[in-house]
Amino acid sequence: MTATYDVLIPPFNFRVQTDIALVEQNLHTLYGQQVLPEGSLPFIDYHIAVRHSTGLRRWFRPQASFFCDQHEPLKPLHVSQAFAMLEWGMNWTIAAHELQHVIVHSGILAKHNQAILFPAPPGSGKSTMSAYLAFNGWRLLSDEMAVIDPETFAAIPFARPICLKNKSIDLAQSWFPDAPFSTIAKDTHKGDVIHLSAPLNEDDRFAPARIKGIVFPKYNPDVTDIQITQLNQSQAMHELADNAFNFSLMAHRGFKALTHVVEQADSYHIEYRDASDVKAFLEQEVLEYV
Amino acid sequence: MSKLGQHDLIRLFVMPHTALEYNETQWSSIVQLLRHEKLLARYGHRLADHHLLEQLPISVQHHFNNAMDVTTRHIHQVHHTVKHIQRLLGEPYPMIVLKGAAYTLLGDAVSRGRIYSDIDIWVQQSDIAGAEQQLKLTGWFSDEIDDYDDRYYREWAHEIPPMYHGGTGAVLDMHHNIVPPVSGRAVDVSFFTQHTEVTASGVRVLSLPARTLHSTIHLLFNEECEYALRDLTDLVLMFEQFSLDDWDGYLALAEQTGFAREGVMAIALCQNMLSLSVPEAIAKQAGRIQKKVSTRALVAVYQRIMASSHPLVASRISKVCERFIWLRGHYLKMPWTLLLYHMMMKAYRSTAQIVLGRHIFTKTDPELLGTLKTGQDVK
Repeated sequence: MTATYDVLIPPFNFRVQTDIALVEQNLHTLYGQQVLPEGSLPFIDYHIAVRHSTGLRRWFRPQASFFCDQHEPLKPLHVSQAFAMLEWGMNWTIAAHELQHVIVHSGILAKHNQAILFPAPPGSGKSTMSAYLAFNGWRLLSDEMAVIDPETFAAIPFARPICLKNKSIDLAQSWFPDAPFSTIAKDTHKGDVIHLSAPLNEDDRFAPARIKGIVFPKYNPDVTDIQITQLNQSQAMHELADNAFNFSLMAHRGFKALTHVVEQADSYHIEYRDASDVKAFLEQEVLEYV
Repeated sequence: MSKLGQHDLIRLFVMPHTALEYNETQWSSIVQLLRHEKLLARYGHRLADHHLLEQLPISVQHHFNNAMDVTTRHIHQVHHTVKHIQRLLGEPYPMIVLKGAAYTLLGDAVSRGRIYSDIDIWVQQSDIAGAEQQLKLTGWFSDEIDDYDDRYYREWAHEIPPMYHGGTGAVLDMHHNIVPPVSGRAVDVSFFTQHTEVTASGVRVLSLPARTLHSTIHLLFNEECEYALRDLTDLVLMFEQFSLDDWDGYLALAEQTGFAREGVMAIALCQNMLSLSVPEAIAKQAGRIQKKVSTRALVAVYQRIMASSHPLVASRISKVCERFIWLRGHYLKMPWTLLLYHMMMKAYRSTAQIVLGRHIFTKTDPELLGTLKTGQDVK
């Protein structure tokens, strides 16, 4: 049975089609009220689908395929990973099409409408830290794709579930036993992954936020206390540009926007063992007191 | 309003002000269709030129702007890459830039919002091996392909396997003709030496009538018709630039190269579908060939497949027409004995791959190439 929904994930409207029960179930768990009957939204930005692969692969080691309209940009995955594939497919869709915003491969969270960018490679503990902050008074704008308005230089929320990997799955499940978790996708290219929805605050969920800090976090179980190094602007710019998906296509506008972001923000490299230390540091040292 | 279809996209091109008749939900589908047809940016420019874009819903403008930004940005990359290739090939291997990249270099009406993924160039057949080697020494490489495909390219096709630039990822298609020699319809080398012009940036491209004929042949002498409306709008935008001499030149060139029928079919399609007006003398001249029943039938088939492949608009008839064009295209390109062999080889090979695994025909990678490729994947 093929199910079709309109899914509202500001600033974009998706139409999502799937014939895989696992995907449908996880979609409801993670996006809740944002999942609407087909035809509810007047305008659809992107038509995407995750479907059983056809032919032999329907039955023998069954695969799932991701489609952006008629186009299949990703290689099929095992059907048990189909929901993770939908999430990655959405990332692909936005990264491949959106040029009206600068898109940086980075986590981004805000408090008092002041946002902190966390551009970091996989394995740095970024997502675990994002989850900790998102459940402790911070607002998740995005776990993987920071969307920046090139005119106002503000960060626009594109709030999607947090993608947790391997060991952090157990940790997050023990931290937030009642939170909406997806089923686990085993043995993906990132290892085992799970998606987790952050709590939404109805008041400011769509509000843009000014970028106040850029923090490159690294989890290190061997440090006793949080280690903080302030970065200069050129170091920060370099790192940020490396993480921008559409930097070259955005050309001058992209360069201008990122330069402005770097100039208005403080940049730090931190090594930490305890996510609560990061929270304390950000709230006491980086954010302006409101 | 009834279901959207081919008719809406064509009407929107010919009469852009009809844009104001659609609501946001209809625009959802139109944007989806235009993106599928690779026409989003071209239509965006057309709407902007008529001051209509700014009157559309913001959500709709957003997607046109995205698409136009991609093509605008593309312009710099194409200029840069072509210069780079020209420098590498230099005097010993004179080249001509074809199709999309040529339009971009010229910067004319066809170039605005034109999307393409490869840069196409022509070099003399006798220069192919040397030019290929020259590029491969300087950062360009080809995908490893199996012996059968390699043979297909080298013996029967009019181009060599695509080459990629290791750093920028640019894709280059090197041709020595515009149709496969195996079809027996390859054009004489004088087509490339006598009908050219030089762009402002000093790059040789085909002349306007020759470019138009090449585009005609690409659309009407091919087994694939995926982006037929994109190709037809290319044609109309070129025809609209024609002087009387260009019209004569186009028809004469079509005749000389043996593509007279395709030449007039292109005119007929643009007249019937995109309201092209044609000088009377030319219309009369073209009319003589258009009268043939088989030509008229073929024009009708092509009319059915324009912008009709997306499931939103596809019909049983359009699918049959697509199939017909696919068969005809193969038939035109290969003598039937060879075609049979080619089809059987393809069928045998895909069956073997299903049964024995995908890599049954993949040649063992030399170690060096293996690491090179891994590097590419990571990027």
